[in-house]
Order: sequence, then C-alpha cells, then structure tokens
Amino acid sequence: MREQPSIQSKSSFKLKRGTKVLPLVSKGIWQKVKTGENQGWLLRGQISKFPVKRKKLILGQKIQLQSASGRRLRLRTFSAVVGVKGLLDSKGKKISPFQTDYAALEWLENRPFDEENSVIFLTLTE
Amino acid sequence: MQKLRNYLWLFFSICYFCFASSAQTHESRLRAHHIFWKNQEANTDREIDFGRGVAAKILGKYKILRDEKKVRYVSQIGTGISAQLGRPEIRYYFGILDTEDINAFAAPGGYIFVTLGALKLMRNEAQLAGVLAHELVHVGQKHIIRKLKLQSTDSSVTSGIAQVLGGASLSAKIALERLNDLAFKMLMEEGLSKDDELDADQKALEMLIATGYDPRSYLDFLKSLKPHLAKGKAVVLSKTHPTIEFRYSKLKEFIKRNELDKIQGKTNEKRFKKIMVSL
Repeated sequence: MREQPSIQSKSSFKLKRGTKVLPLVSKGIWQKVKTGENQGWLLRGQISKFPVKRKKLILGQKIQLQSASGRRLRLRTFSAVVGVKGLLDSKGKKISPFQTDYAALEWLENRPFDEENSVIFLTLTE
Repeated sequence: MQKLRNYLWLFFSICYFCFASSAQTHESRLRAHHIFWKNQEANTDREIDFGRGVAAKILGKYKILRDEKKVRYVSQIGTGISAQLGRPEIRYYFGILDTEDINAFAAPGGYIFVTLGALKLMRNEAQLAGVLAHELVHVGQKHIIRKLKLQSTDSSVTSGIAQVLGGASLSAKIALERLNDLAFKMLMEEGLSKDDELDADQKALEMLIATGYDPRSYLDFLKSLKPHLAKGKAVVLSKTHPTIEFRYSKLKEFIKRNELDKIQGKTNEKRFKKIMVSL
C-alpha cells in the first residue's frame, strides 16, 4: 500500500494476499483503501471482488477417505477419471487423443510460493 | 369529516403501495446482485478446473524442466508481476518447458509456461518479464475462454463458464475434456486472434513500466525472434502468433505514440545471466 497514488511513492504498509479492504476514493488506475487503522493507495488491478482461489483438482485429486460423502465423491471422481482417461467412445476411439502429465503439473503446483518475497525480489535493481 | 377520512385512507394506501413495491424491487435487485457475484465466483472455479486440464496436456506434449533454481527464478519474476497486476483471485504457476522451440503459453486459470528455447534467446530479465507479462494478460483478459465462447455477456446472470462446465456428471466431464482438447489445439495450432496478441503486447509493456523494467527490452526480444523464424526454430510461435514483423511494428508505433521510449528502466542483465548461465 503506497502513501500517494504513484509508483514512485513510498510504500506505507504491506498487505497479505486475501486481506479485506474498504474502498474509499479512486484516481485513475489507483484506489484509496482502508484496512483496520491503515489507509493507502493500491493499483486497481490489485483489488478483487472475489476471494483468493486455491487450486482445484478434478483428476487424481486427494479426497478424504473417512467420511461417507468423501467416499461418494471419490467414487464419482474415479468414474469421471475412467470416463475421460480410459473409456472409449461409441466409435471405439479414445476420448482425448492428447497425452496428459498430471504428475508434472502437481510438481509445478507444489513449488514453494512466496508472493511477498517475489514482489521484493522484483523491485531489486542490480 | 367522512371526506377527510377517505383522503387519509387513500394517502396511506398509496404510501403502503409505494413502500411495498420499492422494498420488493430492492430485494429482487439484491438477489440478482448476489446471484451475479456467486456466479462470477463459480466461473473462476471452473476456469481453474478447465485451465488445469489444458496445462496437463501442454505438459503431456512438452517435458517440464525440473531445475529448481531456474523455475524458482522464473516463478519469482512472474509472481512478482502477477501479485501487483494480475487477477488477485487467481494463484499463478510459472513453469519452464524443456524444448528448443521458442514459445510461451498461457492456459486459463493461471498456468503459464515459457520454453527453454525462448529463455536461451533472452538477453536480460526485462525480456523475461515482458514475455511473462504478455502471457499474464492472456489469462487476465480470459482470451482463450472468450475465443471458445465459453463465457456469455456479463449482463446475463445465469450464463457463463460455470454453466457450461459446471456439471458433475460423467457426460459433463467428457464435455470438459473435449473443450480442453479444443483449447489445447488452439494454443498449439491456430493461436489467438491478432487483436488479442496486440492487446497482450501493449498491456505487457504497461506492466513492464509499472514494475520499473525497461520497456524497450521487450521490443528487442521480438526483434531477436525474426532470424529464428527463418531457421524454423520458432516454427510453433510463427504459427500461433501474428507475424513478428507485424507485432514489432505495432508495438514500436505504440511506444512512439505514448512517448514510452523516454522511460529508462532496469534490465537486470547480470542477475538473469547468473541464473541462466548453464543454458
């Protein structure tokens, strides 16, 4: 959060991703917001009306095995996986001709993620 | 007296009618508003589901590079930009594809890939930031979703990607898989429209300026692609993007028109070369 509506302005306060803010006034691409006791300017693109979404898994998802609803969901997911990955359509063709690699995708999704440090890393100049 | 009573009755009836109808309108408006935003949220969920399938297919075609140092570096640059200028409700992932092809891809929902061939061609961090920003715009503006016409107009409350892909049945999953195939083919073969690419180039340039990078570096990267197109190394890129000459000239014109060439930004060449030294 910056003191003034400008990229050159000093950063007054750091916000974590997903922090709720109250919009006050806007000026061009900048929006003045309030959170708790703090006020400052953010780029409009930094604010969203929706909460932060975490990754959603359809295929190969980890589901709680304990509960009955978990078991039902697991079975439903299993049939869906079989449906899209293994079953053949009425003409005997595989449903998708393309290969997938969900293991590689999960590897990518499990890389360490630190938004705050990335922003600091970006602002550093040699 | 009787007349006055009649008038009073009439007055109160009108007041009640006005109050009741305004309350009802207000309530129905609130309800429509609530449904609209819930729908938008559901759309983001489905977009991530959808994009995940497309990303898995990209990784089925190209091997992912499991080099922690380089992936962390690319991810730090991408996350740094997306945290400030990406869609805040989405978590972005940045990966490197182990191929000599020169290209970059963005799957809906925040999955962004850059090829090793493209990284080898880059000279500094500003060029990498430019390419990632370009792909971030594709996700931010939902170019693929719009091209597949998965999203109807925003004014419609009940339509949208959630309605198209939201079903839990097997046939809905198969439909999702088929749409994934279409999106994958679009990325690999047809590419996005000329307007979408130009829009992404211009917005990427604005993002570079906002994050303090040298905007000319991105233009230089586009220029450096030209000889590789002739060699056939960037064959995929030439198929999936409008011609480089066209993009280069349009972007140069944009820079001149907005006097962006006067902006001096960082290139972070040393840091880039230190990480990418073994490429």
